[in-house]
Amino acid sequence: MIDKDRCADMSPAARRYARTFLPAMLAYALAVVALSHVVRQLHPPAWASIPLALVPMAPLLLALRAYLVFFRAMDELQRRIQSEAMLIAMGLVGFGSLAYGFLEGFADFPRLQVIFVFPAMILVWGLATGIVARRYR
Amino acid sequence: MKNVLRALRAERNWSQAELAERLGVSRQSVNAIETGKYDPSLPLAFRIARLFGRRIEEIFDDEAPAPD
Repeated sequence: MIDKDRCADMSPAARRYARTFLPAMLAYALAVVALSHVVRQLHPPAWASIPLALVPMAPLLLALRAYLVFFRAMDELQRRIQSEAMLIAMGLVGFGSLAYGFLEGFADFPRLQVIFVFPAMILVWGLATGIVARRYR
Repeated sequence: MKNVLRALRAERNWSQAELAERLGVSRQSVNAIETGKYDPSLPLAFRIARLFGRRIEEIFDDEAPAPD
């Protein structure tokens, strides 16, 4: 599963990032599955639903921390690319969700769950990173 | 910004990866600087100049006209 040759080409910072980010994301996926099982099968009391619902956020915070450490280790060009891509993602998804909110409220568009906003931002950020990076090749 | 980084690197027979390692940046950054697609920050420009034993102005040229 892990390409050791590719790992050898990675910088120490990138290797550290992979070692900390990937387990955090795996923990997040497991937390979501576990949460789904607990809620559907065990029907926890109302007072427990809020903390239980937020359990997947803990590994996500670890993933965020891993990324911040990685970002600080990047060189200036890599930081510029990442920052510009994040700005694009924030703008597009931010404006897109705001526009969709108006459409929901005033044009009877179907309601979308807020939980999709963050994954949409990550997706656009990834795509924007590739596009921005091409300017420097 | 025009620069002679590629020529200086070639004089020493360094690959872009080797130069990147000496400067503490990614190979992507070295390539972007050499092709004029990215202008380094002042600290990086100083590191480049010191590595090659040249002044910054001997390596980088912003092609601005000389003042009268």
